[in-house]
Amino acid sequence: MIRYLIKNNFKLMMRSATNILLYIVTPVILVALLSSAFGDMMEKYESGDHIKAAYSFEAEETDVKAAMLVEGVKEAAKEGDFVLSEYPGADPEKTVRDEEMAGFIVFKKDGGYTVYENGERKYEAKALEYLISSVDKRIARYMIPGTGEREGSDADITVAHPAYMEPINAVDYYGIVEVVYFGWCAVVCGAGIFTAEKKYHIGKKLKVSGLSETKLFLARFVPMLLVVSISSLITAAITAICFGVHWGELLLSALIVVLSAAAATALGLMFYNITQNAVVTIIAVFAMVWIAGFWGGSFETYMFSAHPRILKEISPIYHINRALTELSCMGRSEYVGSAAVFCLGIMLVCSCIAVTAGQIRRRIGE
Amino acid sequence: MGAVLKTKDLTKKYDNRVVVDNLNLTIEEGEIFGLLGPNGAGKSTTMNMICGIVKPTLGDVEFRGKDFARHRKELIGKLGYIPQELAIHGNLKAWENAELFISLYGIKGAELKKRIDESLEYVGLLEKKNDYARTFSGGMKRRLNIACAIGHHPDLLIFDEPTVGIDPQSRNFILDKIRESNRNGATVIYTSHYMEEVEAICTRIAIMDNGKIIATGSSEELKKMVVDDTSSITLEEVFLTLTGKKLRDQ
Repeated sequence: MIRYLIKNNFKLMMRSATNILLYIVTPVILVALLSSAFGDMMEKYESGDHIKAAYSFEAEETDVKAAMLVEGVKEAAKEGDFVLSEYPGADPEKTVRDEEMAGFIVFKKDGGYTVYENGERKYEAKALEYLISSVDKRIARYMIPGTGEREGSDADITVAHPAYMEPINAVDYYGIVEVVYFGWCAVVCGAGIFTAEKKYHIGKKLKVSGLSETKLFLARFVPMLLVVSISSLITAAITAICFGVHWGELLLSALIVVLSAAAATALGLMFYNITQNAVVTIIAVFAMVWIAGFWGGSFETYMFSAHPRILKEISPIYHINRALTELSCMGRSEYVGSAAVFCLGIMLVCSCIAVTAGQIRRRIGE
Repeated sequence: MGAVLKTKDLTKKYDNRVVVDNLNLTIEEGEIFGLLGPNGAGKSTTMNMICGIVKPTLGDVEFRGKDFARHRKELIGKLGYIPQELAIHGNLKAWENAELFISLYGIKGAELKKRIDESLEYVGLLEKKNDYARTFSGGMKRRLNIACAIGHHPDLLIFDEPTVGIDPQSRNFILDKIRESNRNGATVIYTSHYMEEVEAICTRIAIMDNGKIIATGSSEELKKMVVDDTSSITLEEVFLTLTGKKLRDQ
């Protein structure tokens, strides 16, 4: 009956001061510190000053997509805090420098565009780039691939409310991403159990009882997931009450946090079942999570970070952060699906590898 | 009385080092079988192979007439293993530790609660059931270790040095409980370095060295292998005569 094993492993984890410190106290402190440290930078993006940008056309005549893109960007700029002015025939680099603009967009005849960014206004330039790419993506969906023609009726093509990034403040951003980041350190909450099982040879007794590797995996996975999920939700509640962090769609956000914790737990257990060493597991998982968090916006906001898009896209934390922050500030996100797919995929693959590694170890008869 | 457990040509090799060498052992129903040997003789590896923790390189373990590896699920509930390490969680209360280990054998609900109390009472810890194991003395931890391994009512108990590092009172208590379990029908395999303990409780003793059984018999029979006048020699002297005085763990 693994429910008693799950119950007692859960008790052991909940009684660990390290877990409370790591999953509740540390994220709360970090949210306070990071939101305060990056508050000014994000306020600039949020609303404070208008972001000035210019545009021009490479050719007088443009195709359908180019026209829609220009129209869409103008509409989006109006709704945001962008002041977008046309500078026909101007030198983009000179204009950006002289007029202290965030950037200069040159719309090409074929519907493409080039953005000249102002290096001294890095964050504003990134926001501008983000706005254009969001509108571009939205429009691309309505085009018939390779033809440049529109698909469906005019009524289908709307650029009135493009899904560009709404302003999010530092408290909301870091309040969300730090909960996700610490959730990915889920392996720590199991480390106490791994160490005790090894130190006191409890694993021997579990083996003698004939417990299968799948049951043994579940007896660790379920309590770890419960502890990390509960701690993350407590942290989210504390930061919401104390700092006013907004989580947007509560149920959907909670589901993503739990899925994220499940993926992180399976990842940690996979490493442990392969290495059978808690220290090596923690170092390996922390290194992976740090890299994924670095690319995914856990430290520097993903909107402003200069990492190549491909690196962001391969980081599961990016998809989770983006889904949650967009749910917070826009109430919807196109990244919910990819975040869920990443989490479920990692959970399933890592769980299978973890169980298989345990079975191989047992078959060899260590 | 038939054999409870038989090992057939049981062998364990680590790389080219033979730790257990073609071991053929028969444990009869109702006996307390003592397994003695110097450090590195292969006692613990033998115990681990019998319990299914370590896979033999060669040979089989037959338990109640069935191949243990093949009928493990069916037979596992009949085996109780008390390791020499204190295999308990310090951050769990005594009853929680007992619950964790007894439930592994499929016991649940009211029956589980009954077995927990019964096991803790058996080792004299019922009054301390709500105390954390980390607050227990060495002797109490040893007793809790036993309670966790007997709650599923096994009929073969394997004690691997269960009295290491405890006071004479606790040792005496544990030995009494082993005798009591045996009187209640359990067959016992007992390993220890304490000769007087083995002599006091075991009905048959095997001395193991270099992975092989070098002598088997009752305490008297082992003494007779060395001298005619058994009153003039202790079991420890027999052991040293048979295994030599050379240090084994240098």
